[in-house]
Amino acid sequence: MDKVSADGTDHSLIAAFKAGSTEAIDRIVERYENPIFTFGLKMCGHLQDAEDIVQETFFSAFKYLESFREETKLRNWLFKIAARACMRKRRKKKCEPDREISLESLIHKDGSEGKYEIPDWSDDPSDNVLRAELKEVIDNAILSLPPKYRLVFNLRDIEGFNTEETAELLEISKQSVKTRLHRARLFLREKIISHYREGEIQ
Amino acid sequence: MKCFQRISEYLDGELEDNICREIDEHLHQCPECREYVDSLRKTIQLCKETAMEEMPIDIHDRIRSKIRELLRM
Repeated sequence: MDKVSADGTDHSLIAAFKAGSTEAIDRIVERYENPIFTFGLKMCGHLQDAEDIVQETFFSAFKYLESFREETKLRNWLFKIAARACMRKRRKKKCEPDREISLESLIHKDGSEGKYEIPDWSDDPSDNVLRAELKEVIDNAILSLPPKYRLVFNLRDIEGFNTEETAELLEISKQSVKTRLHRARLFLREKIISHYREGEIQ
Repeated sequence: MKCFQRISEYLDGELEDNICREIDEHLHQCPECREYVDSLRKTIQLCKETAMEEMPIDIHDRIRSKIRELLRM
C-alpha cells in the first residue's frame, strides 16, 4: 500500500497518544464517535448495536494504536475496524442471510415513462413531520439492502470514502465496489419510488 | 442506452472523458434517460441529506466511561 499523507490533526493526536496523553484519547473519540455511530446504526439498525460497534472500534483501535504506522489514514483504519465489527455482529445474530441484488430485475422496472418521482428534501423546519417520515423511509430502505451492498453503500455514499478506499477497507476489488454501489443505489431508488407510489407519504 | 450499468460511475466522475461525453450527448437528446439519471442522482442526494445520526447523550457518556475503564485510565 502506498504511504498515505496523514491528516495533520490525526497525526498530532496519534503522536500525543503514543507519548502517553490521555487527552489525545478523548479528542480522537470526539472526532470520530459520531460518524462511527452513524455507520453502526445504518448497518445494524439498533441503538444498542451501534453503541457496541463504537465501543469495539475504539477499544480495538486504542489497543493497537501504539503500533499504528499511518500507512493508511486514521479515519480509514477506524472504519475498517468498525466494518469488521458490524460483520462479526451479523454473524453472531445468524438471522440475516446475504443475497444478491439482481440488476436485471431493477432495470426491468425502469421501463416506462414518468415513474421516477422522488421527493425533495425540504430545509424548511416547518416540514419536520415530512422530513421525519422521509428519513424513516430512507433509513428502512438502507437497512433492507443485503449486508454486503449496505456496507459498500454506507461507506461510499454516506461516509464519503472513494472507490479505492472502500475496496481497501473491505478487501474486495474496485470493480466489486462499483457493481455493489450501483445496484444498491438502484435498489434504494426503487424502494423510495414504490413507497411514494403506494401513497404512504402525501 | 448502452451505458446504464455505468451510470453510477458517470455520476461519481469515474468514467473516462470520452465515455462521459458520449453519455452527455445522449442525455441531451433523450428525456427518458435524463430522467433516469436525475432520479438516481436525487436518490443519492436524499440518502446523504437524511443520513447523519446524532448520538444520544447517554450513549456518549457510556462510551467514554467504558473506554476509560477498558484502558484503565
